[in-house]
Amino acid sequence: MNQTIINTTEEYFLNMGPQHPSTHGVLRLMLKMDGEVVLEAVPDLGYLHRGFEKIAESRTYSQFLPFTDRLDYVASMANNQAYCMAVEKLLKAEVPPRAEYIRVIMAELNRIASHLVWFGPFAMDLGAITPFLYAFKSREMILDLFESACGQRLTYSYMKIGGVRWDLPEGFIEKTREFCRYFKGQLDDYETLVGGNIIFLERTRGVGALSKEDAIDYGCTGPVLRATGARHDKRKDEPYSVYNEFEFDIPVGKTGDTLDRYRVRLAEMSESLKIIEQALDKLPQGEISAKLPKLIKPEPGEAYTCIETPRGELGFYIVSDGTAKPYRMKIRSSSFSNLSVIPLLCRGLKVSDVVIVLGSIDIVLGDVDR
Amino acid sequence: MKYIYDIRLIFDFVFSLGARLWELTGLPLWLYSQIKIVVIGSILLGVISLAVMFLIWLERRLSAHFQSRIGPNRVGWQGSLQAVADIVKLLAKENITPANADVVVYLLAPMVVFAAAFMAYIALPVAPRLVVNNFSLGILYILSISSLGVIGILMAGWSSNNKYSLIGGMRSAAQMISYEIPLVLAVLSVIMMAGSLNLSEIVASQKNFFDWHIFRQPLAFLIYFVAATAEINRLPFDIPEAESELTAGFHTEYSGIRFGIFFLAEFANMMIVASIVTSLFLGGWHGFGFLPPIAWFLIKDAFTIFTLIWFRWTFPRFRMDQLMNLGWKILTPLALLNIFVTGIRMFIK
Amino acid sequence: MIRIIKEIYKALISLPAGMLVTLKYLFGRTVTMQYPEERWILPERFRGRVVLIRDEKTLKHRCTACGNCLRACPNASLRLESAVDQNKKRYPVKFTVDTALCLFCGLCVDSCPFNALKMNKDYELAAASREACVRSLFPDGENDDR
Repeated sequence: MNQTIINTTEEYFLNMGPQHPSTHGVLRLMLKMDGEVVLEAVPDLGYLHRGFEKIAESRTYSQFLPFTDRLDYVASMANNQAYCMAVEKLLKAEVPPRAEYIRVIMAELNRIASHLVWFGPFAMDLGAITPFLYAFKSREMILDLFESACGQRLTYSYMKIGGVRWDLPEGFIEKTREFCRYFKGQLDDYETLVGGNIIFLERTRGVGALSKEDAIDYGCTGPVLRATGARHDKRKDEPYSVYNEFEFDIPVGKTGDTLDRYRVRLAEMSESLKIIEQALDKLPQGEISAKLPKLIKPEPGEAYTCIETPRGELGFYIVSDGTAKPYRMKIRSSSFSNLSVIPLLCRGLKVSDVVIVLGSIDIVLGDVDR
Repeated sequence: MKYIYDIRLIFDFVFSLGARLWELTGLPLWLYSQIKIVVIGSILLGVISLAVMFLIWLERRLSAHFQSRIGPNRVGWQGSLQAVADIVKLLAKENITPANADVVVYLLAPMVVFAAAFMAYIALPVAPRLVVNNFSLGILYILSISSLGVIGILMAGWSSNNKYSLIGGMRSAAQMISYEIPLVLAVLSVIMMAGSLNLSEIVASQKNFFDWHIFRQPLAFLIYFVAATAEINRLPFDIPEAESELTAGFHTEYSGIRFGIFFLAEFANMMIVASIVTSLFLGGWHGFGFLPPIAWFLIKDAFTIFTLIWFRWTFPRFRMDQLMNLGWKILTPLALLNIFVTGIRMFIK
Repeated sequence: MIRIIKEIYKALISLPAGMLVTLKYLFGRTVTMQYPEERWILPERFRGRVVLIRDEKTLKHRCTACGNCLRACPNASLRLESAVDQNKKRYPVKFTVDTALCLFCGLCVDSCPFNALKMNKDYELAAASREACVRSLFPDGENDDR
C-alpha cells in the first residue's frame, strides 16, 4: 500500500457561530482546521447590522442620541459622550464644568461595568464559571447607580447635547464612594481567583501575542493596543472633557498576549476607581447643561471627535449641511478594528485558544456591526 | 443493634428465608438464584439512581451558593425534587437523531456509558461484607470497567455526525490514554502496601487512623485524585465537553432522555471515583466509633464529592496539550518514582 | 534551582488560594432576588412606559394635543388623535404608544411644554402580539371621557 495515502490527514472546515456560546453575540468564525489546530480564521460580520449611520441622516441631532446607546450596549455612557462631544464641536458650545465632571464619573463607572462584562465571560471561556457571577454582582451595583441617575440600566441616554439631562440624584455620591470601597476588595478576590491561578496563567501566557507594529497597522486601540506596550490613551494624549485635571496611570503590557490584555484591563479598573474618587472630591457646583436652542441646527461644516471608550477609540464624524439633521455620519468603532486582528492572531492556535483570544479582544457585536 | 451495624445480615436473613420458601414450592433452584440476582441488581440500581439524583441537587445547590446564588428551590423542600422534575421533563422530550448519523452506534453510545458506570458498583464494598460480589481482583475490575465508559463517549462523538462532537470524542480518547496510566500506577503503590487487590482487604488494612493510605501514600493520593478528576471529565479537565469551545462536546447532538443518561452516568462515575478514594486512601468504613461503618463511608464519600464540586466551581479548564503534558511528563514519572520509593521501603522493612 | 522551587510552590499554592475565595462566598450572603414574590425598589427616575399625568384633585390631564412629543420621538412610536371641545381647546381622544417601537429614552417627556407626560414604573411590557404592544397613554388605559 502507498505509504503517503495512509499518513495523509484531511483539513476540514469548522463553522463557529453565529450561534455559539463563545463568540459573544452573533459573530461567525469560519475556521480551517487541521485536527485541533486552526490554519485560518475568517470572521464573518453583519448579523447585527442595523444601519445606524443611515438612520442618523433621518433623525434630528437630539433624536439620534438614544440610538447611540445601542452601538456598544455595554458602554452606552461612552457612546453618549462621544456623540454629544461631536455635536458640541459642530455647535462650538461650552459645556458647564459640573456637567463635564458628571460625564467623567459616569464614563469611568461605565468603564468598570464594561470591563466586568468582559472579565466574567472571559473567565467563562476559560471554563471558570464562578468569576462570571462575581463580576456581574459588582456590575449590578454600578447599574443600580446608573438607574438611580437616569432611570435605565443599559440604554442610559443620560447625556444630552450641551451637558447632562439630570443632575446627580440624592445619595449618589455616597453610594458611589461606598461602591469604590467595596470594589477594591473585589478586585483582590478576582486576582486570587483568576489572575493568580496557575491554570489560568498557563492558558493565557504567550497565547495570541500581538506585536506593537501589527497592532498599530491593524488600527487596534484601547487595551488591545496598550497590552502590546504602546502607551496610547486618548485621555492622556489629547485630554478631552476634564481628564487633564486628574492623576491616573495608563497601564501597559509588554508582550501583547492574552495575559497582558487581561492585566491591562484589570489595572484599568483600579485606575478608573482613582479617577472616580478624584472627580467626586472635586465635583463643582453650577449648571448641568449649556443653554442651547431646542431644535439644534449647526452651521454647515464637519466635526470629528474621538474618545477612549472601554474598548478603544470611538469616533463620530458628522457632516452638517445647516439643517436640523446630519448630512452624513460615520462611526469609527473600536471593536470593528480590534476584531480585524483575529485572522492574524488565530493562525496556528488550538480551538480552545481561539475562544480565549476572541474573548480577550473584547468585542461587542453591536459596536462591530452598528 | 447488631443489625444496624451489619446490614449484610439483613440481606442474608431475607435471602435464606426466601430460599426456604422457594424449596416448599418445588421450583428449580437455579431460577431462584436468577431472581435473586435481578432483585439485587434492582436494589443497586435504585439506590444508585437515588444517590445520583441527590448528587445532582447537591451540585446545583452548592454551585449556586459558591456563586452567591440560591439555586433550585421551587420543586419540593428546598428544591430537593428538582432532579426528578428534570428527569420527567427529559423523558417527555423528543429524542432527536441527527440526519446522517450512524444510528446503531448513536443509540448504543449512552447505554455503553451508563452500563460502564453502573457495573463498577458491583465490586464496591461500602461496609464490612456489604458488597454485591467480593471479587478477589476488585480494584482491577473497577478500574477496567470504569475506563470502558470512554468507548461510549468515543462512540457518541463519532456517530453524531457533528464536528464538535467528533473533536470531543477524540479528545476524550486522548485524555483517557494520558490519564489511565498514572491512575493505575498510583493505585499500584497502594496495592503494594496493602498486599491485596481485594477492596475489602485494602480497607481492612487501614484500621488505625494513621494507617490510612492518605498518610502513608500522600503522593499516590494526589496523583490518583488528579487523574480520577480527569477520568470522569470534570473541571479542570472537562476537555471532552468544554462547553465554551465545543458547545457540549460529545453529547452536543443528544437530546431528551439520552442526554439524561449521559448526565446520570457522569454523576454515577463521580460517585465511583469518590468511593474508590474513600476505600483506597481514606480508610473506607473505618471511623471513630459511635456511627455505623456505612455512615462513616458515606461521610467520607460526601466529603470527597464536595471537594470535586468545589474544584469544578473554582478552576479554569486545561488545554488538551497541557493536560497530556501533565499526564505524561509529570504524573507518570511521579507515580513511577512513588512505586520505586514504596518498593525500596518495603524491601528494607 | 531555588527560583524553580519557588515557582512550583507559587503555582501549587495558587490553587488552594482560589478555592478559599470560593469557600468564602459559599458561606456569604446570597444576592438572588426571588422575582415574582420579591420586587425591586425602583428609583424615582425609572423610565418605564410613558403615560399622561393626571391631576389628583380634578382627575384631568394637562395635555393639549400640541404634538411636540410626536415630533420629538426618535422612532415614531406615539400616535395621537385629537378633537376640539366646546371651549375651542384641543384635547387628545386617542393617545397611544407602541412599546415595540419605543426606545424608552424620555425625549417626549423632555419636550412637553406643559409637563403633561411622565414615565411610570411599569416594566413588565411583554405582549403576545404586535397589537397588544400598542398601549394607551391615559393612566387607567381608558380613552379621554371629556
